[in-house]
Amino acid sequence: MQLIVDLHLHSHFSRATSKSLTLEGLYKWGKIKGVNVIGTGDFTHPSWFSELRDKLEPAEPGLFRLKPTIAADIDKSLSESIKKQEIRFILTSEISNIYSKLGKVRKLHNLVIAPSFEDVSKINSYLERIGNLSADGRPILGLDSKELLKICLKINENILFIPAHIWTPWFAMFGSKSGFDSIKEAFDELSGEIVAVETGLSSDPWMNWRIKELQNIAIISNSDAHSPQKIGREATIFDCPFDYFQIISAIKNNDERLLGTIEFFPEEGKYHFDGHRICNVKLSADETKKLDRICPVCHHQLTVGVNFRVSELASFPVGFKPENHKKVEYIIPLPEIIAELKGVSVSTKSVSDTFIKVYNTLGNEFAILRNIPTKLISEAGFPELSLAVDLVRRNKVEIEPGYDGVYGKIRLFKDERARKNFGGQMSLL
Amino acid sequence: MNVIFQRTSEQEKAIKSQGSVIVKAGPGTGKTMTLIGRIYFLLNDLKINPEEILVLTFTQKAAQEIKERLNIESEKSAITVGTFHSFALEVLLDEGLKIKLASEALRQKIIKEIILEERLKTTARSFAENVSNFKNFNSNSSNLNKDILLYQSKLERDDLKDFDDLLSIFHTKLKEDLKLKNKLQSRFGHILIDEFQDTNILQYEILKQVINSRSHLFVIGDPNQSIYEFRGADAQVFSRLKDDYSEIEDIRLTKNFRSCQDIVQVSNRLFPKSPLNPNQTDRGKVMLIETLNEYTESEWIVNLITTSIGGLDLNQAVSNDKEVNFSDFAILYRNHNLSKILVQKLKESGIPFQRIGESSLYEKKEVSFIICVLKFLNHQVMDNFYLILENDFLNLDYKILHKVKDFNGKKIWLDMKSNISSEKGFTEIVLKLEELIKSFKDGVGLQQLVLSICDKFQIKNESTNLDIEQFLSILIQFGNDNYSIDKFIHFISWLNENNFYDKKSNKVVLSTIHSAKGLEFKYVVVMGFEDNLIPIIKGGSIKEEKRLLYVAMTRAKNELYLTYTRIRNKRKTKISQFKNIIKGEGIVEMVDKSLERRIKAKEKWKLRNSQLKFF
Repeated sequence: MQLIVDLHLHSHFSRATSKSLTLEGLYKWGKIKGVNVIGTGDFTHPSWFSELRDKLEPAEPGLFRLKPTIAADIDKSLSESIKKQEIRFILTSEISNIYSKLGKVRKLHNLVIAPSFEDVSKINSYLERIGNLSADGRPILGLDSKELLKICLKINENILFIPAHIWTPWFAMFGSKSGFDSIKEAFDELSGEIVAVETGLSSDPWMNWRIKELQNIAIISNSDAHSPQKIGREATIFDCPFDYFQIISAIKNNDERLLGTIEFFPEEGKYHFDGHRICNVKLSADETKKLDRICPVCHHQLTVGVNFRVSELASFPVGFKPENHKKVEYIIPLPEIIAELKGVSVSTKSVSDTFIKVYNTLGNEFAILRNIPTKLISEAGFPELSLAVDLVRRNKVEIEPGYDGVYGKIRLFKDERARKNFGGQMSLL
Repeated sequence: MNVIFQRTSEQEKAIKSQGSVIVKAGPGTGKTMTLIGRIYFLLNDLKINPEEILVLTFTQKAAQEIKERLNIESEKSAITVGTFHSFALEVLLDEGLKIKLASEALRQKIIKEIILEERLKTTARSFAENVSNFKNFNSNSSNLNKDILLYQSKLERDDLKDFDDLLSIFHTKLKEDLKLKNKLQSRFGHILIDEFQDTNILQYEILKQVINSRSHLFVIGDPNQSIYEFRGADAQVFSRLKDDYSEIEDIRLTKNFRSCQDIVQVSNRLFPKSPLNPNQTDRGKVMLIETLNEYTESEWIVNLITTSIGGLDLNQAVSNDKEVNFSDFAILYRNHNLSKILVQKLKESGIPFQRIGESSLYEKKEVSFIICVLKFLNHQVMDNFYLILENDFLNLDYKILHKVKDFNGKKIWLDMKSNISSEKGFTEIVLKLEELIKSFKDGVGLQQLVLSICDKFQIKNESTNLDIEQFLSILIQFGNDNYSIDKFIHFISWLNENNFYDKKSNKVVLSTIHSAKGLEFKYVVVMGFEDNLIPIIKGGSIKEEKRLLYVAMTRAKNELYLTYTRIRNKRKTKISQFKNIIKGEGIVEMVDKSLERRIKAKEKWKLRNSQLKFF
């Protein structure tokens, strides 16, 4: 059974998150998006943990489901096309570790995944003595990541510890600003216990495959969503039944049960390429190296991006693919595709109306983006959408990498003319 | 990393002194190292029998630390290391005196009783201080009043002594019992006293009893750091000792290893007669920051920590190639009241912090009450029942407690409850406990029991909710079966032994200046550098206030910030009069940017208003 799993997201108890990040909100959007297993996030927060115990009940080993009465209520408001899909929850939390090691301040975000309320309780009683868990769904601890890993291992070997979005400059294991240069540097003798890393929105498996230390460990993707609409924007695909221990062992063994990941185009990130926004200079890693990191316009240090950081630590060239590699699927979120077809902003009502119409007719977003034959999409009355989905599935998109704080652009059409040439029946959407 | 410093010649001289010696050790001059060095010198070089060495400290913690530094196990070691109190108790018990010490909780209870009974307009804390002061300076009997007598009679009723009694009993005993005095004098040829400036008169008198002409006295401390005068410490004790024993040698340690140059230079101005020399080559930083009010002050402090650490989230992120930890910061203030807004701002920021002396989750009133009830349910004996009744949460009329205790003859809960359950206010509690006992016997698990306790005693409300949720979140691990309570109670006693907090945890420290004594931090902020805070002018001793500021400033290793506000608690404030003493080279004055902004905004507003008048 194919499962789409999103382990990293937040509740409404985290900073700068949507109020609708409740279990009900996650359940509903899980069905709209087509995510099968959703991380709860924030299990260290006492109020959220209390909500989890209130509203969830054990389902298959290590997984939870929304209590049937609550679920039934939400299902009432959903169309037949998306209602049937089962949703499971998995207990997860992200922790912000801020500490000094080897003479530098290190800031790492780490993901912790646990199989039971009892294990979460044990983790919380440890961490409660170290920091303030009720200030933020993602608590800041002045604790060495390695010590956090130790605590997890000590409590239960089935607790999974994963360095999060490892390439972001400021808060990640390989971050250029406050990270490390290797897993070994960060975790010393416990490096072997790091069985997986999270790509984050700023990198894709291809970038990670260039790193020697990452050749044999699992590369997974999650959304890090701060609103329910964003869950599953990146995710990991498994071929296994609903079972915590199967999911965990697939990750630990990095075996055939882990099929691959669903990815954003990493070029969309704000710091993919290097450059200077003010000088209008945008450079690839190779160009930056040739220039010795100096801006050709203002002659100051360039802001180097994630891609450069990868090339700094890489042992293998661009495009290198390890033998034991997984599938990589790139997506553009369905509302964004619709917005571009319509030539309007993604936040408009017209886009959300069409989005609802599309999934009510065809099924959840992942089914539309990944599985439903384009012919069927077209026949259902969305011919332009079917063509657009086909482009995305074949990665035929226009890519403009982000740099120095400027978001990159991933588009179906190079310009307005291309959009207009694409089809004249936009009104049907 | 252990840095082994080369001893200074002053330290060397103190350690190897032949006779008796007073060592005046300023902040950061290696006081503890010198004390430990001295003990090693006595043991290893002079081959003194460890049984002859007595080391007296002022806190259990300090005694423990010395034992740890000496790497000796308390029971096996022949060196006597302890506080004046523990030493007194040990000797008195050895002499066959039967002394029952009142627990601090019981003492508090008695004091609260008296305050209620006598309708006193005083706090329990100041009452306790009065008692203590009276007992420590019993020469001044004008302080004696009927309340203190009442307190004493209540202690005596149960044949109990308090800590202050201990010292006066010991003192009297020494004066009367020549044999004991001689025994102690001949046994302890070497007496070492740490933090000598904290000695009070009674302690000093005791000391005089246990030394004779052959004793070697080694006292170490800093008269400039005597900040416990209000508790009876005798700031003059150094000169008193010198007057009483003129042959005693005087040594001053003057090299400050702790603080950067500017910090030493600026703090020296408080005591120009005993300046220290900085050993550090870095200048460091001393800043005086003016800000608008207590809110902007706290924001400024949070901002300082955030930027030093290099940002806590993406919006604040900056590069930082220095080694900085949360625990490198200490925020010091005159009293805990001052920290209220800061605590709020720190919570909002998510910065991990701890207040020294703050109660942990398990010590909070409501949670500790729940724990008491659980202990009682698990083991239904009178002692556990008393714990419930004595708990602050119930805030029970003390008379009920007495009735229950008077009934102590029958130790069985079942007998007792039928006899006095008619007492008003008490019936309810007994009934509630009865129901809980029933649930417990029916096998209701831990979590459910806690919820029932909360329900029955109406513990959950808006302000306690988060604590209770946190507590419940920790209980989950013990399951819900018949053994769950047992397991939980084990866990609590383990925590109890481990101080509830992880001491080594990396958090910003918030502390009163008093509690920060002896500690050091890379970055220190002293809040509220204002008249009426530092110094407290009314009723305070300006000299002691100056010493307090000195203690605060000398905690800093690299950077020291003194903040003051224009307005606090909606009242205009004045910068501390001590500014005139410390001002000068090495101190940078700065106006908080937010204050500048507000002033500009206000001027703009005034201007607009005045222009509007033309219309």
